[in-house]
Amino acid sequence: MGIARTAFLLAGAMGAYAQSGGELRFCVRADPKTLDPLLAEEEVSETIRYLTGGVLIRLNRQTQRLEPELAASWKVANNARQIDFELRRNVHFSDGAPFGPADVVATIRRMMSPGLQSGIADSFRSAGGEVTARANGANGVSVFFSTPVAGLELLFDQVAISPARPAPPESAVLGPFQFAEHKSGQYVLLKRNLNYWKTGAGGKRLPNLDSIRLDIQANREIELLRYRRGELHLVDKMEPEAFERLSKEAPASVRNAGPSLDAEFLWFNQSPDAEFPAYKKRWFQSGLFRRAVSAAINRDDVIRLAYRGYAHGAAGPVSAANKLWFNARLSPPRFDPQVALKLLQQDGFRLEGNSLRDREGNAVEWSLITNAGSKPRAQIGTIVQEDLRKIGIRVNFLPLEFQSLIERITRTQQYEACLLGLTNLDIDPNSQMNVWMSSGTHHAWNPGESKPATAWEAQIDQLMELQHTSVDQAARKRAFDRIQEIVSEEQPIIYLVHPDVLVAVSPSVRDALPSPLPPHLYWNIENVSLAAPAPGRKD
Amino acid sequence: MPSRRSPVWLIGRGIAILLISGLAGATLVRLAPGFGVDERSLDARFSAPTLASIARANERDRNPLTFYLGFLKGLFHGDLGRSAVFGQPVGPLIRERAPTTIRTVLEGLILGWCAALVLATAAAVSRRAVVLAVAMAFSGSLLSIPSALLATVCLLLQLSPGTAIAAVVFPRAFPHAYEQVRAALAAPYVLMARARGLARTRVFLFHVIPAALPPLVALVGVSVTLAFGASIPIEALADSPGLGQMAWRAALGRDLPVLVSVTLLLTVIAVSSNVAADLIIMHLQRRTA
Amino acid sequence: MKLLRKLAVGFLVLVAGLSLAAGFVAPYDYARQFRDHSNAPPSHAFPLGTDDLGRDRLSRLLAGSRISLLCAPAAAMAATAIAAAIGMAAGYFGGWLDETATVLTDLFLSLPWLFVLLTLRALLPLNITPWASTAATFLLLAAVGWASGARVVRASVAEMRFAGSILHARACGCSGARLLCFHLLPNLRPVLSAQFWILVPVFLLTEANLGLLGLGITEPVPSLGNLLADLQNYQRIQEAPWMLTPALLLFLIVASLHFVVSGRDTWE
Repeated sequence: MGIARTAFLLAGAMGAYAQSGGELRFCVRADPKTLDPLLAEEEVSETIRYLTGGVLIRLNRQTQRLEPELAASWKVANNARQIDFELRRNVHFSDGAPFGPADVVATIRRMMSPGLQSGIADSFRSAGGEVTARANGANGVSVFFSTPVAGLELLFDQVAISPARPAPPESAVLGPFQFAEHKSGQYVLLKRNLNYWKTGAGGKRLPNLDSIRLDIQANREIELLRYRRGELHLVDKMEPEAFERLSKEAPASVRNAGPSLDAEFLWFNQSPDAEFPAYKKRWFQSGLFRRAVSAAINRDDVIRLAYRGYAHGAAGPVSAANKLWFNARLSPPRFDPQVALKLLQQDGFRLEGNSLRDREGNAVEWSLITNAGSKPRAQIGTIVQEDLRKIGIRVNFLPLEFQSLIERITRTQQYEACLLGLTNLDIDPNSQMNVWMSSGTHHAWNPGESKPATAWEAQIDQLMELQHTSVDQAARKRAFDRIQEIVSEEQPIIYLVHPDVLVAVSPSVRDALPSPLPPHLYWNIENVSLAAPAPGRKD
Repeated sequence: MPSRRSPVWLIGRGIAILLISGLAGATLVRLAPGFGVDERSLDARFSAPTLASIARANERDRNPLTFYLGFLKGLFHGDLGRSAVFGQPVGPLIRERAPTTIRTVLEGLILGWCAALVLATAAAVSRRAVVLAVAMAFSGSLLSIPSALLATVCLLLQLSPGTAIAAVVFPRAFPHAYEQVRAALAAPYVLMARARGLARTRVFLFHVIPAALPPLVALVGVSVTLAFGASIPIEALADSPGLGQMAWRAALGRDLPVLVSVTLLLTVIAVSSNVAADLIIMHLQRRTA
Repeated sequence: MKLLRKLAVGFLVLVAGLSLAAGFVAPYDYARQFRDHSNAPPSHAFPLGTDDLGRDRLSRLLAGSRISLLCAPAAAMAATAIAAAIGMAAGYFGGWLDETATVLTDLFLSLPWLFVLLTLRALLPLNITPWASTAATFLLLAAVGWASGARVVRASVAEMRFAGSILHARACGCSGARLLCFHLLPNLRPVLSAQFWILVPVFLLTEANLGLLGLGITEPVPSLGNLLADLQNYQRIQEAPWMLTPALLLFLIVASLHFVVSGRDTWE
C-alpha cells in the first residue's frame, strides 16, 4: 500500500512537473514584418500567426489529414462551390470576448478586400474567383466560391480568425498564445492565451507552456552555440554541417524529419523577350538540351558534398514528404555524361576539344545566377559548373544579392539560367497554379505567356485546370501525376534535390513531434511542454 | 562671406556636406539594382493584380530628389518614414536600436583608447625597447586583421562586439598616443619640474597629461567616426541588434528611408567630429599664438 | 627594426614569388574537385587538406594570394592616381575648385563604403569571366578608396605652391600643366608612394571583409577574402585548425606591408 501510494504520488508530481509551464525559446531569422495574420507572408510573421492565430480547420502535420479546430465540423456543398462550418461553442478570444459567426464573416470580408493585398486572399481568389461569407444561424457560417474548388478546406488552415469589432488583429486572438512584446532585433515574446479553448488530457487547460520567446538571431553559428549552452530549446532547419556536428555530440537531441517539401532546382530563361542572342534561346528552348544538362549533373555528389548526405534526389516538384501528391513512379534523372553527350549530338551539338559547340559553331557558354549567402547553393553551383565543364559547357556562376536576383528573374528577365530553392508551405497543387499555368506570373522559365508556347505547356494547362476544378480526388491525383511526368520529360525546371528537415530538440522538451511539413517543430505547440524549469539565461 | 577658417564657415560647410550626402545616399539606393523589388514577387500565392499594386506602391519613391525633399520635410516634423524591411516607422526603430550601438561603440572607444593610453604610457615611461616593440607589434597585428574577422574572433571567444571595435580603434590610437606622451615627457618644462624634485606621479598627472591630451582629443573625434563605420560589418556578423545590423539588413533590402537616415546619421557623426576637431585645433592654435 | 623590415620584405618577396609561380608550384588546379576526398585533413597529397568540394586548399591559397597580391597593388595604383589628380588640382588652383574637391572628398569619406561597393558590384554584367569580375571588384575598391589620399595630396600641394623651386619655375614662365607635371609631381613622389603603400593593405583587408560578408570575388576563383568565408562556420575551426591558413597568410602579408611602410600616418 505504502509503495503504491508513493508511486502514485511520484507520478502525480512528475505529471505536475511536466506541465509546469515555463518558457520555450527558439530563434527566428529576422524581425516580423507584420503582426496582422492576414498579411503574414514571410517566415517570422507566419510563425507568429501559427502560434497565436485560431483557425477553423487545421492540417495535422503528421497524419496530413484535416482536423476540426474552431469549426466543430464542416461540409463541402454545391459541387465544391460552398463550404458550411458549424462553429465550436463557448469559445472566447484572448481578451474574453465571445467568438461567433460574425467574426468569421468579418475576417473573410477583410481578407478579401482588395486594398489589403493579402497573399492568403490571392490563394482563395486563384482557387475560386470572388469569395463571400455569410452567417448561418447562431453557430453556422457558409463561405461561397464563384467556381468549383477542389480541396478548398485546406485553404482555411492559413486563415486566423480576428474579432469582428474594430481592434488591432494582434490584440485579441483565438490561438494558444498571444503577442506580448517585440524588441527590434532582439526578441518577440508570446504569452499564453488564458482563454484558449482546447483542453488536454484530464481536462487541463492548454497550452502547457506559459510563454514562448522567439529570439531574433540571423547567425546560425551563434544559434547553435546558444542551443549547446542550453539557452534554446529548439533549432529548426539546421545546416547539414551543424547537424552532423551536433549529432556527434548529442545524438539524442537531433532528429532528421526526412525530405522536406522544398526543392532546389535550376531553370533556363525561355522568355522570348530576354536580352541574349537568339542561338542561346534555341538551346534553352530545346527539350533535348535541357534533358542533357539534367543528366550531366551528378545529384548524388550534390547530396553528398553540399548536404553531407542529408537530402534526397529530386525527380520533380513534389517530394516524398507530401504523402498525397507524390508521384512514386518517377525517379531522379540518372547521372550519365555519355547519355548527355548523346542527347546533345541528337540536337546538333558537337564536342570540339574541350568545348561544346552548337550547329552554327557557337561555343556553349551561359551564366548561372543564384542568391549570395546560401552555402549549399554556392556549392551546388560550383558542382554544376564542374559537371558541365566535363561535357564541354562553360558555366559562369554568379551569386548575386537577393534583391537584384529577384529583379532579374521577375522583372527585367536579364539572366540566362537561375539556381534557386523555394520553400513550399502548401501540400495541395492548387497553391502552384501560378507556377504551372503558362499564363502564371510565376511560370519561372517564361512568365505570363499569352498562349502556351509549346504543346506540352498547353497539356499542363489543361491538366492543371482539371485538377483544380474536379471534385474527384482520384482524377485530381491522376492529373497532377501526369503533370509531374511531363515536367520530368521536358525538364523546364531541372529539379536537383529535396533537402532533409534537420532539427534539434532539447531533451527537456516533451511531445514535440518534428514533421517534414512546416512548421516542422511546433505544429502541435499547445501539447508541447517542458520537463525541467526553463534553462538559465546568461544575459 | 565668412572667412574660410571661421567657425561659421566650417559649420555651414558641414551642413552642406550633410545635405548632399543624404541626397547621394538616396540616389545610390535608387540606382542600385533591385530597388523597389519586393520579395513577395517570388511568392506563388500572389496574383498578378496584387503584385502590380505592390509594385505601384513601390514606384512612389522612384525619383530620388522628390523622395529626398519629402524625406527632409518629414524629418522636419520628426517623421523619418517607414521601413519596408522591418515593417516599422524608422524613428522608433532607430530609437530602439541606438542604445545598443552607442553602448557597443562607447565600450569599444573606451576600451581601445584606455588600452592605447596605458600601453603608450608604459612604453614611453619605461623607455625600454622591448616594451615598445611588444606594444608596436600588438598594435600592428590588430591593424592587419580585417574587422569582419575581428568580429568573428570575438564571437569565437565569446567577447562582446565592443571588443572588436576596441581592436579596430586601438592600433590607430596607439602610435599617436605614444608620440604625444613621449614628446610631453621630453618637454623642457617637464624636465624642469622633475629637476625641481616634483614627484613622478605629480609630474605625470599635472604636466605630462595636460600637454599630451589636447591633440589626442582631436583624434578621438576621428576615432568616433571610425568606430561607427566599423560597427556595420561587426554588428552584422555578431548579430548585435543595433544600428549597424539595421543598416546592413536595410542595404540588402534596399530600404530607402532607413538607408538615408543611416547615411545622414553617419555623416552627422563624421562631420560634427571633424568640425569639433577643427574647432579644437583652432582653439589650440589661438592659445599657442 | 632594420632586420625586421628586411625579414618583412623577404617574406613579401617570397609570397609574391610563390603565388606568381602558382601555376608551377601549386600541386593542382585551384578549381579541380577531388569529390571523394572532401574535407580531408592535411596529408602528403593535400598538404593543407581539402575544402567541402574536395579542392586542394594549398593550390587555392596560392592562386588566391596571387589574385590578391596582383589586384590590390593595381587598385592602389589607380586610387593613388585619382587622388593625385584631384588633390593636385584642388591644392594648386585653390578657390572654388579646392572647395568643391574638399566637399567631394568629405562626401566620399562619409558615405557608407560598404553600400557603395554593394551597389556598384550589383551593376556589373553577368556574362563576364570570373577574372574580369575579379578585376572589376578591385577597380571598384579604387573608385571609392581615393578620398583620403586626395586630402593628403591636396595639403602637400597647397604647401608646395609657395616653395622656392615652384615660385622660381613660375617666375620663369612655366605654364600650369607643365608646372604640375614636371615640377610638382616629382616633388610629390614621396607622398604618393606613401599613399600607395598605405592603400595596398587597406584594399587587401577590404576585399577580405567583402569575402567574409559573402560579397567578394565569386567562385570558383579563390581570393584571400573568399577563402576566409569558410571561417564563418567558426565552430569548425577547432576540428580543422588548418582552415586558418588563409587568415594567417593575410595577416602576415598585411603585417609585413605595415612593417615596410611603418611610420606612415595610420589614420589615413
